[in-house]
Amino acid sequence: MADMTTPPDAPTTGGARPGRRLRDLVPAAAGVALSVVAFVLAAQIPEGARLTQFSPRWWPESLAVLLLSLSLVLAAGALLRPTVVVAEDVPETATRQGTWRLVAMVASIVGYGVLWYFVDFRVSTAVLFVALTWLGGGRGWKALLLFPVVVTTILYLLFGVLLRVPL
Amino acid sequence: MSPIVEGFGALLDPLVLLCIAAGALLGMLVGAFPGVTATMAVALASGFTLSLEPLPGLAVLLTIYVSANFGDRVPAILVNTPGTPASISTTFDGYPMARQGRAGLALTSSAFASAWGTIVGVILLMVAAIPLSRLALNFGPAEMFALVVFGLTMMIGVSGGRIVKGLMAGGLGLLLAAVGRDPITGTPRFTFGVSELSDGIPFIAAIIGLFGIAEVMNQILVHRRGQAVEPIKDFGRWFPTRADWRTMFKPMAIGSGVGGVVGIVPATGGDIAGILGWDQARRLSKRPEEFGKGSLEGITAADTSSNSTLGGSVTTTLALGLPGDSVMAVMIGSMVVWGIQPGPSLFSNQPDLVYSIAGIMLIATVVALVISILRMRGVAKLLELPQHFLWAVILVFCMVGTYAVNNSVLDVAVMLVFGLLGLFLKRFAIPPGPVVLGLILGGLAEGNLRRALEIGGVENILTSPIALGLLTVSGLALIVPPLRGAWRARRARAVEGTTPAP
Repeated sequence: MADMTTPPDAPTTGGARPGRRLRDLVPAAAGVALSVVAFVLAAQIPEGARLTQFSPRWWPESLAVLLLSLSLVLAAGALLRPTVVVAEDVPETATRQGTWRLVAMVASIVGYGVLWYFVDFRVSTAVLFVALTWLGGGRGWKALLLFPVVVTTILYLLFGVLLRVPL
Repeated sequence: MSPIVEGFGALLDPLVLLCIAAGALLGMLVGAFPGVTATMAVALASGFTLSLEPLPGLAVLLTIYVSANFGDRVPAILVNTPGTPASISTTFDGYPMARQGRAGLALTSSAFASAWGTIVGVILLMVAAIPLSRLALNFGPAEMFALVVFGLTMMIGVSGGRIVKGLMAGGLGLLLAAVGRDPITGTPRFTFGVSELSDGIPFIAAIIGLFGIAEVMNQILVHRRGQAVEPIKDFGRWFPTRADWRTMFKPMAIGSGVGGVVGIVPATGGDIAGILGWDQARRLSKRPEEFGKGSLEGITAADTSSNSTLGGSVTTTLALGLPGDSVMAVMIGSMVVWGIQPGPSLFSNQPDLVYSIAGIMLIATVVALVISILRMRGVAKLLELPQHFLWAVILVFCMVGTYAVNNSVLDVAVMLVFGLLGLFLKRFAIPPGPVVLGLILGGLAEGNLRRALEIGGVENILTSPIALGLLTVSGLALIVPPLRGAWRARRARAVEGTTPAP
């Protein structure tokens, strides 16, 4: 059960607003992981007939090494330098409600992709608009009925009729 | 026929004029909504302009680019929130003016300054584009590689104190650009057997994800009820008096000069130029103490400078193939789909295009100025629209627009993945611009570096004065800002140490 004493828009606590060190260490770790994956995948690229001095692996492998080095520099800087907070580096705090809203919206979009396969574009898109508007906080018939119908019609006329996109 | 007549003549097509009108309205609207940047709007519009012919399509995109740089002044002045990053410096004096009951004057003088700045930029485009592209035609692989490095580092060098993160973002973009076929041998790389990836990552989908979806996702994540600032309602006098015009003349001249120079530098846009122009005008003003407190000189210099970059950005993009700013980085994707390959040979093959583009930008400026003056109050009303409508419209338009480019569901999936990637970058203060730049320039960088090394090894690059010069400037762009920051911090500490305690 959700904690009813917490206001829905209150900033999330418990490390959701990472310090400067964490804001550098997480991208550094992601960079290391990505460069290792890139290096492994690059090693599987066929060498070909070696018509030229450089194989097709050379560039991605060089970039993986570059990314790995930069990630290590970033991590070292985060661990060794004194923590200095730069205003522009601090993102606006995420809210708990915002996080749930985002997850629900992404799920709706994925659901829309599935629905579109089985149901006509106009119906599935209107349903998606209702879902997104409701999740965004829209209430009432204007927001949940008029707005989805009007925008879906405009979208269909623009893409389906005017630009002849097979929707 | 002369390319000038041919270029301007092509604009007499009613469809092009209709596209300019549509682009101007759209640009004003997106500019007026904080959070919807010109880059995002152009990325979104790319989805549905690709089915048009190149010139009407360019008319829509370029007009959005121009008019978003008018519309974004409205929230900057009325709610102290820049509509796009280009209007950051507008808030310095625009909002204080509005709070003093001079919002009307701030809006119209900003519109006139923006129009003047854009016209100066377009004149620069007409004068400099063809000579610059002729110069660049002499570039070999070594110089082209150095030029690409220069473009990438310029964007990273201006990303504040985040140079390592900027370099990582650039590296990520270059790595993503390696997906597809090897530019020399054609060997497939990182395609995982998916035939659609043979041509590389779908660029339009990637940029819509990085700039459109990621921004909306972030807004959803941080949104709080009752967060919006109540816009100013008392507008006061609208038109500048003769005395106001005399005050505006000098900052307009300073702003045009600063913006023109900044615009030519690859990957630097109106946000930087606006701040530099405002600062330069303050230094040269007789009343520097009024800057930041509602100075007409301040708002005029900032907006002239910010808009003077537009012509320079287009020049660099079309003449060198290097995006002048992030909007141009997005526009290159559409141009390539239309068969227009920006780069030194573009103006040799199609010299009339430069005049068509200049003509579109001039007409767009006039239309945006007229809308600004006649309908500012209406545009200001838009600020009262609830955010959930905007989120839903942007998300669905992004998806359908991306699908429409190739009628491909894979593109939509790529867009969503890049949206999440963009959100990650945003939350961890990594600039997304270098990722896009790397993605665009990756093939060019790899192909030219490999050709240069095949021809004559590293000496081929080190013995070219142009390549060496560009690489030196690139190196300085990365090294100087942190060194300067460290020096300033040290000096500040030294001053603190010598100041006696109270």
